[in-house]
Amino acid sequence: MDNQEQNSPSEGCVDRSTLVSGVGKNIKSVLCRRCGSKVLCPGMAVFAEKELFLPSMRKKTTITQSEGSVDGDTLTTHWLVDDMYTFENVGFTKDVGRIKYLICADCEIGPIGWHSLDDKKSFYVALERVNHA
Amino acid sequence: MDSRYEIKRMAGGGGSANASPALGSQSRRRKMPPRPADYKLQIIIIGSRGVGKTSLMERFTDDTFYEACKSTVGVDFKIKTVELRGKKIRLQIWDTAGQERFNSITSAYYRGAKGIVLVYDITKQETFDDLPKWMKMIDKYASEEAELLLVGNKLDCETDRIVTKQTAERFVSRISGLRFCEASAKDNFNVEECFLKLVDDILAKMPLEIPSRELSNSILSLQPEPDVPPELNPPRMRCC
Repeated sequence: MDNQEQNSPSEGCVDRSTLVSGVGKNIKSVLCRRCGSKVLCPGMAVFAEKELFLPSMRKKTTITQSEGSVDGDTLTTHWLVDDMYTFENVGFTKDVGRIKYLICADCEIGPIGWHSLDDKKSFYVALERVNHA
Repeated sequence: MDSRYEIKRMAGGGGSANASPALGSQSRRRKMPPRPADYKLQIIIIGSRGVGKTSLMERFTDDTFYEACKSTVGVDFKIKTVELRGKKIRLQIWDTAGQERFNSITSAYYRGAKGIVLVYDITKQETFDDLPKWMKMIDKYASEEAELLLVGNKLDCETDRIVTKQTAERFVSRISGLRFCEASAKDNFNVEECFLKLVDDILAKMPLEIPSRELSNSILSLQPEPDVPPELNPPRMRCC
């Protein structure tokens, strides 16, 4: 089953029972899609639904993108941790307004997640931006 | 290099213990649940522009197509996990790339750091000549407890080498508590070993449940320490 539906409005196509435990935690390790770096160990995060806009991971090669617009996705399904030291490996970007984006610590691909400086105890990793194994 | 250090990179495809469901498992296998980290350490990487600080902590890829985030926003810090002495250690690593003016890196960067990695480029004399100024900042702002590691980077450019190893070793010998190694971030040579040695030395000073006598039997502490042992807490020499 492919859980990497691009631009699909229904993120819920993912079979959550394979990913989310009975108490709402991640059954599998969360890994970087590109390099396999381990972001989270099993059981270290809880499943959360929150609408968050994450800029696209890909650099646009065309120049048709208008100034000021940011290409990205509004994603709803995330892994949530309350302490940055819960992560095995993760990178944080510099501030973009009140937001820091999470990226892979090894290959720096991203954003894979989102953190608001106004909520120090919430770190979100978008299910659609990572692999599970 | 040798396998002194159990470098358990927490990458995908790791040990089977991390692949099993932590909860709600139908399996009857008894697996250890992943444990949280035993230690948290802050590490900063400093040094002049272009020495390769950022490269030390990054796996090289050729695919720049995906680097939209990194190139437009910039990386602030990273959390990375290593295992040493049977302990799981979370490192919070601050890379000061882009802030190479000595007085633009705020004291806050230095203050919480348990480990400081100071980098120069063996092919650029000026990056080595800058070292005393960096040492001044460390003396001024860093904790007395911080462990230091000097890295001569770009060992892959041996043919372009300007700063000899002996020159560097002479510099280091005048500063107690300064560890030294040469590495190549590009070839990924000696980078992990250097970092792990630094982390290992930081751990050695931290309180442990395990008596140090047991630790001395571990394979990790066989390397004779050229520097003064940490417990003597030598004063760091003021730079000229």
